[in-house]
Amino acid sequence: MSCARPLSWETLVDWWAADLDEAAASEVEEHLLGCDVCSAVARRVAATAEALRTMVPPVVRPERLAELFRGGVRILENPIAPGQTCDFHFPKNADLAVHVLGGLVLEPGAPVEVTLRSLSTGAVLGHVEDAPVDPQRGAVYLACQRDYAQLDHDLVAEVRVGKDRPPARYTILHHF
Amino acid sequence: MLSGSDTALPARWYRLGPMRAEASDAALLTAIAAGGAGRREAERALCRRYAPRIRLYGLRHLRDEERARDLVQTVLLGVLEAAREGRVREPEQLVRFVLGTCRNAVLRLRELEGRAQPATDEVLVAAAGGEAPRDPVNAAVLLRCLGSLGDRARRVLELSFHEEMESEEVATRLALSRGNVRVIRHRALAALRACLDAPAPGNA
Repeated sequence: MSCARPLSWETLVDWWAADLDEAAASEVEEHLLGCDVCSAVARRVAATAEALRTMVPPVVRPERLAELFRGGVRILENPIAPGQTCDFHFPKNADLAVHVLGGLVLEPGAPVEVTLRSLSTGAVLGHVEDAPVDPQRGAVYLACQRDYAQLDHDLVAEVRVGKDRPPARYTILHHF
Repeated sequence: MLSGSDTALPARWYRLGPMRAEASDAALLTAIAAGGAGRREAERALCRRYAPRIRLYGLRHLRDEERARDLVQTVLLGVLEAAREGRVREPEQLVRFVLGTCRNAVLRLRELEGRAQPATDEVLVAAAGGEAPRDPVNAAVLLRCLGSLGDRARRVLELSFHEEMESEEVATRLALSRGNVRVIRHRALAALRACLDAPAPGNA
C-alpha cells in the first residue's frame, strides 16, 4: 500500500475539526474515499478526537451528567462534605460514580478551581481552573470511572471558590 | 436483489480469489455488472474496501458511531444497486460516485434522524461495516496522557474536540491567534495519540 500524495496530519486534523473550506474539505474527502493509506491515518486522528469528544472529564458539568443519564449511563452519586474523608467502593451496578463535593458557598462570578492530589504522594493528578459547578446544590461534580482503578486510589480534591478563601478539602479512598 | 443466474460466465475467470482484494474498482464494477459466479465475491471486495472509508466520512459528518454505521449500509446498498444496473458511468470515477452518494445520504439521514430501512442485502453490507476497526480508549490512560500535555495544549484540545468549539472561538477564549490554535491543536493531538499508543508504564 502506498500513496503518491499523502495528506498531512495537519490537513487531516483541520478536516476533522471542520476547519477547511468546502472545496478543500471535498478534496480531502475524495482522496480519503480512494486511499487506504491516508484513511488509516485519518482514522487515528478520528479515534483520538472521538476519545476527547466522548470523554467524561474528571470535573463534569451538571448538564453533561443529565445527558449521560438520559443516554442510559448508570450513575451513582456519592455526596461528600468539606473536610470529610470517605471510603468509596465502586459499585458493580454503576457505569459512573459522581462524587458530589458539596457544602460550597458559591458567589456569582467567583472562579472555582479544583485541584486533585494523591493523598500518599502529594502529586497533583489534575487541576481545573474555572471549574463547572452546580449553583443550586452548591457543589462540584467529580466523575469517577472504573478505568481509574489504574490511577492512585487515595485522592484529595481541593476546591477553592474565589482567590482569597482557603480551599475546601475532600478525601476519597477508592476501592475498585 | 442478487442475481440467481450465477452460471452465465466462465467460473475460471472468477476464481482468481487472491487477486480480488487488489482488483481495481473498475474491475470490480465490471464483475458486478456482469453478474454470474463472480458477482458476490466482487461485491464483498467492494464492500470491504469502502466500508471503513465510508464509516470515517460518516463519523466526521454525523459524529455518531451508530449513524455512521447506518451511513455505511445506506451508501453501500446504493452503490451496489447502481453497480449491478451498470449505472456507474465512469468506473474509474467510483470514488466520486461514492462521495456523492455519501453526501446525499448524510443529508437524508440528518433529515430523517432515524435508522436506515432494512434492505435485502443488509447482511452482506453489515458484515463489511462490522469490519471497521473501533478504538476504545481507556479513560485512565486518556486522563494520564492529557495530564502529560502542557496546560495550553490540553485546553486547546478540550475546547476543540470536547466542547466542539470552532478554532475562532478557541482563539478568542484563550487569547491566541486562529493560526496558533491550529498549530497547537495538531501538535497536541499527535502527542496525545503517541501517548495513547505507547505501552503502559511497567508494560514496556
